[in-house]
Amino acid sequence: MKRIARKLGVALLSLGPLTGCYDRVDLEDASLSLVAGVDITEDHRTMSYTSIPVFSKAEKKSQELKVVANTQRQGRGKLDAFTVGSFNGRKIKVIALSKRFVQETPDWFRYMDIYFRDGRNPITPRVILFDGKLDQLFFYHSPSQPMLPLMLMGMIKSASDRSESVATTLQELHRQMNEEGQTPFLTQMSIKQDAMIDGTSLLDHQGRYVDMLSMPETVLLRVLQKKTGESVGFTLRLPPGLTGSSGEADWVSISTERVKVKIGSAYAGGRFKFSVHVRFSASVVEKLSSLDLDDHQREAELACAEELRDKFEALIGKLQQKKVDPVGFGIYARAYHYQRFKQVKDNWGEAFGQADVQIRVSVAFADEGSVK
Amino acid sequence: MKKYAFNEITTMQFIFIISGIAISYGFIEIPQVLYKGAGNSGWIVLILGSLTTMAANLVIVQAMKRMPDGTILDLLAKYAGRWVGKAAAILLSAYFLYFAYTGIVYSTRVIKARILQETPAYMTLIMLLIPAYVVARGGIRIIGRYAELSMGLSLWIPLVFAVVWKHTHWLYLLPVLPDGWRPVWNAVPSTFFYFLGFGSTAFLYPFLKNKEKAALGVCCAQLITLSAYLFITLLSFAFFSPGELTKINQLSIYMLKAVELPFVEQVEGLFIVLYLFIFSMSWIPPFQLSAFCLSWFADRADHRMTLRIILAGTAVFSYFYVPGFNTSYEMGDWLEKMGILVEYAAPVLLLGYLLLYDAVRGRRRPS
Repeated sequence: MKRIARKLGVALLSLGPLTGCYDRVDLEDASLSLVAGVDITEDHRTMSYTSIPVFSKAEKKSQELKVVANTQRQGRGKLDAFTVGSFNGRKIKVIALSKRFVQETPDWFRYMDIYFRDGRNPITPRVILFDGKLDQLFFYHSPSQPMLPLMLMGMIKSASDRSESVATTLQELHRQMNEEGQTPFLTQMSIKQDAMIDGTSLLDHQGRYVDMLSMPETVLLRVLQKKTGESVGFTLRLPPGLTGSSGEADWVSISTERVKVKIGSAYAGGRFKFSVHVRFSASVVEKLSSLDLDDHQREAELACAEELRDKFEALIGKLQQKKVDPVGFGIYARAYHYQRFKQVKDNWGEAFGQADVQIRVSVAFADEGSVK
Repeated sequence: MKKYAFNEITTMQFIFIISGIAISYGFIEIPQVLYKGAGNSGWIVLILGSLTTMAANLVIVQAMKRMPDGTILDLLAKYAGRWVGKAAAILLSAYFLYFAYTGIVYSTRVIKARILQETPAYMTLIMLLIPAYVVARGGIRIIGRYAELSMGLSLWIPLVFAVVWKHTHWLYLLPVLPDGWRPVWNAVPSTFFYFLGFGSTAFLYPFLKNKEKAALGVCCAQLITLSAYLFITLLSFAFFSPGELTKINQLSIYMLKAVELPFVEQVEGLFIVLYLFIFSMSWIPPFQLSAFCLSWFADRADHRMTLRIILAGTAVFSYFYVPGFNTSYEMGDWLEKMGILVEYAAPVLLLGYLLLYDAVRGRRRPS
């Protein structure tokens, strides 16, 4: 009897600390931010934006706010004054940075520190660069689109699944910013007729905005990064000599089944050399000309390969001219030519600009489709 | 006389106690330590460190063979005199207490930083002490079972880390040995800290049912520790870019933050909570051993009273002061120095003494 009483006493006593569930947050008391944004005012002060879904039967489905604040955390404090519940950043899915913020704020990446330092914050939100003022994006209500967070998430996901855009998460950006052998890249969006993805923004080692890639170029970039999703599609032009037709009937579309990329590296004559071999195994999904693929398969494959090689070469040329390396050739250089790489590691972009990149492409048709 | 006959542990339990104590927070910290020491060849350091530890551990087993029915304290009392035994009991009790306290403070800090930010640290620490008492009061045998249970319950850990697989860049592991062997050799001692805990062999030995398997057991234990460390180290090196490896604290936990699963958020929070089983191996057995040494000093067979005193003292002390993260790392540095003395150097000296003792006595006996 006494033993049971004692055990009960201990059990009751240990219930004491449990009453202190200090970390409990009720959903009703939380304002969950789904999209965060950073912009700068005319006089270069940072502005925090947020979009919070509204669960009550209000007219609008989400609440969008902006405040001027020195840091992200200070901005949250100010945002708290507007929200019904306490501001909560745990569910942020997208972080939008305005192009001006990235261009004109030196070392802007430090404003992201709160996401990495505070253990409560996620590091998985997608980071996008918005070409324009964030006012445009956050206070934009497309009649034909769902609310802002869902719209952004859906667009990024569908485009990146088709490899037409990148889906850089905050952690991925952190890795790239801390990587000597690769430069960062982000999804770039704007509002033209409606919100749309423009392509990929290229940043240099310091995070400064350098240039952008269109969506077709992004596909090529993702091929070189070995990061293609399921299958990628290309629409290519065959030479008139092969198709026998003239003008607009030369187009052929292929959809890849397998993509194999091999990147070799060497160092000679004071510069790095990279030989890239891309092998596509693809099926033909569209053909406008009357070219007989049974008879001329080999020629058609070669023509496609040549066309693709030109595209890859144009892309590499553009990257080298801008001295950015989103592909990560520097990672190969470090892995295989460490001593050489060590000499240029503080400015790999420059070294990559002078590197010699050879591209070989081969295409093999696996399937010509259900009609001749 | 078999003093500990009713408290026997199996070889499996023996293995799991030793590797459990070692792995605990090493699993969270070791990738960064290795990277700082020897860059991306840190995993080679790990293998060398593990071999050294295995040797030190075998030395302990060798010494303990002379005393199959007693702990290291009994051994010292027999060979060097009662008071040497008593002094060792006090020293080792203090050592294990410090070991356990460092472990529990570290775990508290991780929980505070990642999961329960608003909860006072002392509250978390005191709540961790309750299960520690429940397990430790049962003696070595219960600890053995607990070790078995917690290792068994943690077999999912490699699986959860498989989710980060698609974020890895295996080229980061190249080049191997970029700066030669020198940094590798220099970094070996820095790994010793994360293998500490094998000194418990000297106390577990008399409880072991199959003593002839002790040497095999310690080798297995060190291999388990090594493979756990190798796994997390290689994964971290492939996951993080070289610039990140030195910038991020607690790489293993951080890595899981990058995981997105459709059905659960904050995977790292879940991981920490379940990983507490392993974490707890860094304080439950040491608390028990500390209490054991103290009761040996007081010539009492029952260690529960001393355990209560130790745990209550820790709880009261923690109410007033819980060290911060940086202090806990400093405590770790001190523990490292003490640990190298107690677990690596002392056993070798002891074995040397015992050999000498036998030689001298062996020569004397025929005359």
